[in-house]
Amino acid sequence: MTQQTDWCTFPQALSEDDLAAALAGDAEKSITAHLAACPSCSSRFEILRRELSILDGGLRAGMFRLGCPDPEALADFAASGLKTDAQIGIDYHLSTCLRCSTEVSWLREALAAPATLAQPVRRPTQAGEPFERHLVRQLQRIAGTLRPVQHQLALRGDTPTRAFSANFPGGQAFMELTQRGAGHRLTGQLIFDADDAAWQGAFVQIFASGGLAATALTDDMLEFAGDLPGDGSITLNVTALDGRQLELGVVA
Amino acid sequence: MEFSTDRLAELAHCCEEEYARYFRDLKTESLCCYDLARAALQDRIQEAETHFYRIYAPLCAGWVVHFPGFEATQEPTPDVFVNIGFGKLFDRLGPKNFHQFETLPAILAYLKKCVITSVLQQLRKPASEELDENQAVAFSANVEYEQIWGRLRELLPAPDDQRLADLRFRQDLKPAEIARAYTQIWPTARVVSVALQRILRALRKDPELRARFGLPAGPEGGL
Repeated sequence: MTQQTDWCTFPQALSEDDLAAALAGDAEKSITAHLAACPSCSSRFEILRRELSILDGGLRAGMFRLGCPDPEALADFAASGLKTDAQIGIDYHLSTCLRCSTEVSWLREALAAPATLAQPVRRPTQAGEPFERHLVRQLQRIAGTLRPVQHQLALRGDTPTRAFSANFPGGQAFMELTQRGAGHRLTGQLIFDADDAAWQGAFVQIFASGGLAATALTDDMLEFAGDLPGDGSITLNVTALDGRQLELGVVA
Repeated sequence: MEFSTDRLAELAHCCEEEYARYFRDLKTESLCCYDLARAALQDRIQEAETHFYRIYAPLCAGWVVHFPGFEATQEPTPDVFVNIGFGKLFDRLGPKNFHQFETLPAILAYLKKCVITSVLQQLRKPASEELDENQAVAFSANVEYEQIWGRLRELLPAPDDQRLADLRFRQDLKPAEIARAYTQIWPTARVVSVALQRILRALRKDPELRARFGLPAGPEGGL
């Protein structure tokens, strides 16, 4: 990292305009030469570059899409010819928001088309995906393993209910399996270290022996249940309302 | 209406046949599928919900991959959006309002809205490269956004500067995209970049913004 020296080694230090011109690639040769030879001005140049980058990135991340109508409001707007007060507000917003305008055009096209699209072919992960983006996507997927929490006593035979628990980053999961006819009743609960409304109403897929056995929604207590036919390996996949996913394997 | 497991399995099988016919002849009636939807959504029979999901998830996946915004989400498969969409459907369409959906196409149209808006919801998240920097201070509520936007308006009184700040910071558009959309104000991406640098230099002098983004008090380097 460049160390700033106290004094410019030239008769006159570069101005902020000079440094900005250098940053923009517009600087005269004398400015470029000054920067190359003067540690003080070179350091100020680096500070300017870094601070502008921090402001640009921070404002973009902090303000991104704030003030934009909810996607469902945009969908209602796209599907309806009515002009309610809310929709007049959206109309005004669209006059300045290129992103929402684009989304409304996508929605108009999608909602106008009949529901007749054929099944898709699943795409592989994009080869050119930046590593950081891939990493963040992976971080959105939480994995855990549900392990038995009590030993079965052989002399007493099969216990009617078996309990399991799992720790995963940010929370815990509990599950009970109760014999019901030839199959089992599965009940489960998720507990997160911090309150997180996105997991209420999350969509739960319960797979048994590799196939989809049941679907459920988590309730206000993040509890869910489903019936499983027969025995076999169990996997749970929970999708939160914000797209995060929790995958839980069960060790029998 | 009472449904046994066998009856639901028959209904699901009949629905799958109707589903296949539906794509050959759009006028085909879908009575079994509607009954299955009723069992799932109105009667809240979990087996019916599972059958309904299993039969219609591939259709939803088709909606997602053909939706222009899907590519931008960079999700490798449509599954997450399909699941969020079904979650919304099962949560919102129930015994109290099922009667408002008198046909299967009406139910599917609502499901489609749930699914594709979940794609758009994903696009509302800031790009990951901004999130992994400590500088990214997401404003938690619209109230806070109004405060910061009010501050930007004070610091940038010129309407074109305010518009550029909105296009760049709130809409996260690239200089080339901005130049394409507002050629008369900013004819080239280069002009946009220069104007943006001028704006950032003005904002950099503001103590409130410096504090918010963790910059030392007062611009460094004697600027």
